[in-house]
Amino acid sequence: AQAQVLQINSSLPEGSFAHAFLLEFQERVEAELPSMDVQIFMGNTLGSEEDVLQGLGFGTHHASLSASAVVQINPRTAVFDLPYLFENRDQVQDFAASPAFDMLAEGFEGRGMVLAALWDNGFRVITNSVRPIVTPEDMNGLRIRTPTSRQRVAMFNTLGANATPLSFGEVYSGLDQGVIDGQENPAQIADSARFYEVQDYMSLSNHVYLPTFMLFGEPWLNAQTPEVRETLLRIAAETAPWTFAWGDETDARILEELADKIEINEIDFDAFQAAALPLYDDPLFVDAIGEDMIAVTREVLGLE
Amino acid sequence: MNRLEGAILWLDRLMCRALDVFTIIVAGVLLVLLNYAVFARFILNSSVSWGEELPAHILAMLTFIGAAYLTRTNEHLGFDSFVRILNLGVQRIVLCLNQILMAGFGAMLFWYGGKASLSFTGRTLISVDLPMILFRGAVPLGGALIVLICLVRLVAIIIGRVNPGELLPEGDG
Amino acid sequence: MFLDPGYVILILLIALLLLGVPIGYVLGITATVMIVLDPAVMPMIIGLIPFGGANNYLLVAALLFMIAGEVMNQGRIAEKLLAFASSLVGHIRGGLAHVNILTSLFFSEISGTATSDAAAIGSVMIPQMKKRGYSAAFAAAVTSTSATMAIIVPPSLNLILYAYVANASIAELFAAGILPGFLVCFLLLMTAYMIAVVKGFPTEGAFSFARVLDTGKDAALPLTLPILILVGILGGIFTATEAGAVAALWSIVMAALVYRTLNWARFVDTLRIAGKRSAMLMFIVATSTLLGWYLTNQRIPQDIANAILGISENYWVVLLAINVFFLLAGTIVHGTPAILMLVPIFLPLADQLGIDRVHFGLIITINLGIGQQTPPVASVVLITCSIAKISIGKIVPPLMTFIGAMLVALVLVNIFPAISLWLPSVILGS
Ligand code: NA
Ligand code: NA
Repeated sequence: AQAQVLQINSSLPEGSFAHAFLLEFQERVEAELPSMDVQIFMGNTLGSEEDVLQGLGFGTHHASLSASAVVQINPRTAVFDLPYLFENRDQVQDFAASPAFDMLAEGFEGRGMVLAALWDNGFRVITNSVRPIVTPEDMNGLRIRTPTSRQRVAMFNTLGANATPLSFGEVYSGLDQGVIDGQENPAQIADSARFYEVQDYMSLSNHVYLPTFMLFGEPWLNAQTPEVRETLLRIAAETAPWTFAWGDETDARILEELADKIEINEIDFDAFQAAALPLYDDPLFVDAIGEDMIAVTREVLGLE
Repeated sequence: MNRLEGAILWLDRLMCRALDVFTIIVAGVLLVLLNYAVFARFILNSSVSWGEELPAHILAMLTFIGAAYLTRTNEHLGFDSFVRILNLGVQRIVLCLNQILMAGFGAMLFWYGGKASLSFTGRTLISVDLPMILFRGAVPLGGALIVLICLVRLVAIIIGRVNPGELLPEGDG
Repeated sequence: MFLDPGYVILILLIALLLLGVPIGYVLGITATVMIVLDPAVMPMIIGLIPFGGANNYLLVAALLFMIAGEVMNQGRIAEKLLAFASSLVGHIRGGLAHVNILTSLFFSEISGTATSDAAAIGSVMIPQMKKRGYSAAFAAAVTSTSATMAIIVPPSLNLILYAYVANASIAELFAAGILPGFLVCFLLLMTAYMIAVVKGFPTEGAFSFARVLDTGKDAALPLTLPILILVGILGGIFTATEAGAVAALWSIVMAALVYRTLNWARFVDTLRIAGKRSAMLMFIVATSTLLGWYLTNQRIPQDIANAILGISENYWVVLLAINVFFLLAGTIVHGTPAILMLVPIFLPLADQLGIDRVHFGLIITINLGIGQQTPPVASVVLITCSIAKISIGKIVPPLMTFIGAMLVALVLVNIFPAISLWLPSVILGS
């Protein structure tokens, strides 16, 4: 039989967590479905994330391991912009196994795509050149680079920092020249972008956790036999725990390697969570995410 | 027939004027927006949220409308040396073929670009409340203008109203 | 499909180009034909991908640098730079040739395209050189080759495009272009000096420090532009696009308020010219993104890279092959489509060989710069020939000598990556 091609897109670069997950997924799928030729396209090579997501609905693209751009399609996914929502990966997996996931998946319905699973993406850390961040007070006055996200800017400003949106390509020299004091990203990025060369402190803040969204296009999925469809969705779901375990291990290994290059510290997570809690009622977040989604999330995670 | 020709020429002039004004305004708007973004970041000390997204979308709009304009004024870059050495009859056929191919591509931009634009109905840019279709719509609009321009030229070449040499791309220089 | 898609694409591209279809359409039509013929690809992709290609913040910088260059051009700023260059090197044998080259270096730090450089400097320098006894061919050749510095020295349209295609840092590429640009400048000056001695070209009076100061005062203002651009971008203060905006605004302020050479009508004209040029560039970007999408979808770049590595895996052999390929490509294709179409194909190869992407960008840029100097497609040469009022055939002998100097620069940059990579490592710590 002729090979059926499954092209999976991702905006994340080669060598990222997402790349490792997709390679694992490819292996698992091709083991169970020998006629399936899984092709991985990292780094937006088959279109910007916006175009890929739209293409899922048209059938021009088959599948995508997407990150933040899904907010445009499904505003409920902005729930992951809520600061200090998860302290560890176990909580993320609890969330993914709860009714909150169904509500999230429901948000993709009628958009031409199916949410198969939430995969890991790494917790974010804050690096800076002024002082170790342990309590919310330590954030005072720090100029922290953020992506161009209204929620992320509001979060850092609420905590007393001075959020400075800047494109990623400018961050290294910005830190080097002192235009900004710090930045926030997963530890793996702080490592691969060599921020430790121009930063003194890395605080394991877990301030935001954004998973990756494994999405299949409905036109492509509907063109498969029910058996293939079921198998793909099952493998995607089964791969999820593997990604979290792999992410946990890899993060630990990266931090171990970074320990010689930068001073690493833990933060007082509860204090930060308390300081950020007012944002859970802020219209900026509530209007974007929807009250129902926030309510379910708080209930699932036991946040009052 | 003469009245039809007059009407076409009048519409053509109107279209060129509109496209010219559009191009100048867009270039000027980008100049102002980007300088304001710098001013906001360094002087007002609060970066504008639309700093990257809006200029990029305006540039994309300029791309497709401008492409139609340059098609009309023959200012697209191309390689004309080979066609120029052919005899005039062959040149005429080649140029007819070119208009058909370009109109075909314009038609694809119009049809599929139109469908794509419509699929963005109701969505706005991330950073500012402007409808996406305003920018995406430049693809079908530019495509439609390209179809019109190329078809008018096709007729003009066939009835001998223009010479092939007048329709070659801007050669190298 | 009966034929390998790679060959069908190549044949379509060449046939459409020869038939006089504009390059933007050549790329779009070729992509459309392949997409429509391929049952595995939905034509709906034509509605999505070209917009995505054009929707790019980085390339707004190109439009803004075009405005800045055009304002400097219309505002007759080249003359101030020329007087300053003349006070510095006019006393050397073949003075006007050196003045021409040095003015080009100054101007190249303001403009991002070789054609604008050649037009601005050629229109002032070539008539003067002819008057002083230089042959028209020599004057045109020296203007044409030195204009290449515009795309090597920052700001550079080619490097901006390369940064976009290769996902490399503009700041690093700009920093990497400075020393190779100076190297080209130095080698061109040496070549001009040797020719001047042989042919007995005149000098332009004795060196006078007072004159350097006097003309330097006039040139200081326009020379704030490159400083603004370099300090802004390399210092991490501005993005390339922001630097373009500030440079455009500053050039407008200078030309309109200080020199009073820019009135409203001319200003509108610069916007029109920059807007049209930018649309032309961006249409090629948009359609090449569509064709690039199809090539990537078919995994053709990887196949080509593997085929070349199958012949030889020796670093120097493959690097030589890449150089020869881009040099030849540059003689028939323009810089813009060459970078947009060819770089994605050769980048996997460069990555596999461990060639630094920034270094590779400079190698490609110098190759394409030399390609612009050789027929059949020789946009810069055509401009200087038309200013000098000579035929292309006449310019060839002196042109070849200067191209020889540029080839030396190319070889040196290839062999010693430090020429491109040392400055970014010092300034940006990368
Ligand atoms: Na330049
Ligand atoms: Na050439």
